[in-house]
Amino acid sequence: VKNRLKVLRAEHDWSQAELAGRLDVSRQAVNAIETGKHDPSLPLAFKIARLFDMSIEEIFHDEA
Amino acid sequence: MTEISSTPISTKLRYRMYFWLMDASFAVIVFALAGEVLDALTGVYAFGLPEVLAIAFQVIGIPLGLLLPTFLISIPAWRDEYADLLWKKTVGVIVIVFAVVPMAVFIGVWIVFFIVGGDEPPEWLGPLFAEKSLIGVILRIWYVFTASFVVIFQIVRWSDSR
Repeated sequence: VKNRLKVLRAEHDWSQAELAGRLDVSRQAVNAIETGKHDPSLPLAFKIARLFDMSIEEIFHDEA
Repeated sequence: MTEISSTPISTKLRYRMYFWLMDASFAVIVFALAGEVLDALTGVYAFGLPEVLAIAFQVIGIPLGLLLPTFLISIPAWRDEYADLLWKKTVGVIVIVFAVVPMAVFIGVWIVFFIVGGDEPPEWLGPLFAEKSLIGVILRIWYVFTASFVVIFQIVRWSDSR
């Protein structure tokens, strides 16, 4: 699953640590999601979508 | 944009600390392992440090290198979902390692006996045949398991970050 998390974070001028703090995860988790090493759980994906006021599909999309 | 974080600070701190504590354990375990290898190869105990420093390292090393990994392995509340993923990947590796390594050692020893012949093991295999107390073996397995877990966790984490 690809995502726009890095771009969205940059638009808000947040560091990975700041975003991690808002999402209640570790900085390593944010880094892993941004680099595509980890697909977030559905609850975390919803949390990310709510944080950026977007739908999940606008942030994450299937590579297929 | 919605501010949605209502999680207590203590939870966020736990998630961050999980990785810091894993790093601290890893450093202590690598240092202790290096000391053991040096001791086995050269007979220099604890890097030749003065006795006070060697004892101080043990005082720090036992909580950080043995008790802390046990805690980090056992407490899911300290892991966020990414740390949990790394934990599961580590478990996937460690179960294979702990199934295969004893068998490989046994086969290796059997091959050595086959080549060397005789009833007694060669001197350099002596430690494998040393009589140990059960409690000593349990402590050793505890140490090897927790240390292996931390090392494999860090390798998985490192390979994931590349």
